[in-house]
Amino acid sequence: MSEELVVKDLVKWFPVRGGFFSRKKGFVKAVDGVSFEIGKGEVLCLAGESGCGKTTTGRVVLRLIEPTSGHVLLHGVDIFSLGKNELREKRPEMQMIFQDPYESLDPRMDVFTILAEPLEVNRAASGYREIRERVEKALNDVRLVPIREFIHRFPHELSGGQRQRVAIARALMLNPRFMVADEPVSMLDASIRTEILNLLKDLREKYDLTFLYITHDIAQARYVGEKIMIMYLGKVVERGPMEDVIMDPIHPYTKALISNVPVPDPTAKRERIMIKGETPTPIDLPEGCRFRPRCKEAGPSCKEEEPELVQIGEDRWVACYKARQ
Amino acid sequence: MPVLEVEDLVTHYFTTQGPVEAVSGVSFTVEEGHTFGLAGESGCGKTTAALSIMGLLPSNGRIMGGRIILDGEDLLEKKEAEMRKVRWRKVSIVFQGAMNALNPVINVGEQIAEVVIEKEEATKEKAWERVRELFKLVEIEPSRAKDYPHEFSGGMRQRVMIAMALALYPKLVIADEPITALDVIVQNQILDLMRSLQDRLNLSQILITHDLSVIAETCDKVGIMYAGKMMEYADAGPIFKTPLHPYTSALIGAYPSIVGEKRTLKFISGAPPNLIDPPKGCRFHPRCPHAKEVCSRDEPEYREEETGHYAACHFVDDLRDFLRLGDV
Repeated sequence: MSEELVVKDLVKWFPVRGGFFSRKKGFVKAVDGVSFEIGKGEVLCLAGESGCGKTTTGRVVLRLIEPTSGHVLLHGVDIFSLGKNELREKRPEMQMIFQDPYESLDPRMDVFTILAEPLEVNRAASGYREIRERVEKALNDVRLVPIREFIHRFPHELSGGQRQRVAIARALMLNPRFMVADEPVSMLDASIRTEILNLLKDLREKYDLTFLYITHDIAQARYVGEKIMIMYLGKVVERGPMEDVIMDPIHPYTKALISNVPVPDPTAKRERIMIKGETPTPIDLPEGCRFRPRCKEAGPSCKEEEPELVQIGEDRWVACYKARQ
Repeated sequence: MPVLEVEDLVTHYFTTQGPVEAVSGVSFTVEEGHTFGLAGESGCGKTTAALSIMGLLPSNGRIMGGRIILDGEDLLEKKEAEMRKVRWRKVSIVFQGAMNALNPVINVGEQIAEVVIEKEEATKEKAWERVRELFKLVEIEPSRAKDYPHEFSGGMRQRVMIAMALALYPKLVIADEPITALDVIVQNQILDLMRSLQDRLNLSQILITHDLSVIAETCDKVGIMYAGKMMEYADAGPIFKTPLHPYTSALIGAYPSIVGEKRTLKFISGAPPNLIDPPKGCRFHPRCPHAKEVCSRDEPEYREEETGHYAACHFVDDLRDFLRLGDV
């Protein structure tokens, strides 16, 4: 399988200012050296708790925010080395679906205008007739049918699920090859959520799309993707095939995280690994391994140096000293 | 013995477009020392039911009928002054957004002490003693009582909210989406705390949540609401293994899980109805895959189909085997 997306040593630090004359006091190391690849047509799920850097990773990969350092190769082209005009030409290939469909759609535009806009801005259609055709095709794709009924509605006239469909249709307008979906269903109710997840699955097959799927919900990740990557405080702690990681997690943080996922079955007996406290801020990071202060398995070597993400089995990567032994 | 019995509760909101039948004829019982889970999607009326019990409905909300028997007394016959004695002392509530529920400019200990002083006419010293006791109870270092809400993490703030809810030794605590905004590990820390408090204090609880997996892991009894109606009500075991209502079965079928075989999830087409003008007959019929003509005409009776297992569907007997979920 060819690699559609290659991310190398991605770093994004946000300066923290404060005190007299807003001097720089330090950095929030939101993404601190993240590397991964996604194969063509693959869905890689990026999971972790709030503040682990998963959203920032998604945005930097698309260069919606500028990176501090690192490389992102989309189909072999380094996104970060592109000039303004080259980037604009590359943009249609990479799209994003945001979490909140209430905020990501312009309330003053109707569905047609929202979907026609990317075509107009990028001069991607030859005239009104083509725009109309492509908008209708996109609405069909996301099953907002009958089209007549939806095409001239405004966002406030749509339900949450319908809005998210419009957002997905908009992302599809320019025939992208790679998409970042950032918690696309977390604002929706369970019954509607599944409908959107199934829709994304169908679209992915139909258009051979590659996805970076960001979610905090491991059960959802399992449903959507075939690979998973777990982040903690700006670093990837574990990466591998979905079922392998869920059934047999290796990093102590992954173990704890997965054992804490609730299961919709009252008779399920599962052993839960509790870890102390909550995730600290990524400003004052602990020395050595970032997870060490909360880790039950931590030893003296964990304090000295930060463990690298190393391969320990077929497509399995873990950043933990204990796992290597 | 039941701590709370809610019978045929009807609560409406009066809006410019007409009355919204947010809760229409809901009944359930909470046994002493048990956790009752009230589940359903946004707008199904679960929070309105909780606010009705607390007597904390917004000004356009009114209880139109039914009975709410708490510890032997009907709360709906009480005047506001009497309700003030019930709130906090007999029943208290923990809200979802702990950040919004706490005053940001007063330290958290003071906020709890205030409640104790006002309600119990306690001295300042006694009240602070109680604050320290409560902090120990919810496993926060008592020295942190003088800290302000922003100095706590999300999980810690929710602990403070629980401490506050327990300040006057209530019998029943209603927790409305208490862990929704938290990460899974912290969620479980809070749920574990609530479980241990329940044992230690013989507390009864109502856990309101949209998340069925949380219900599955914590509740003894479960009520599934849809569009203001109770669709199904039973012990947690039967609800998840042998649901009798198509909505319950569909809702459970819509949840992905990290255990068991990976299966294609079902979804419920359409969206919940507008409760200003709810559908005739069964309120779920426009979205129900099993609906027949009678469902759009007659409202199904809410009946005890099996011992302690209630459901409101015309076709319980026909669907019984169909809805039975495989051993997950």
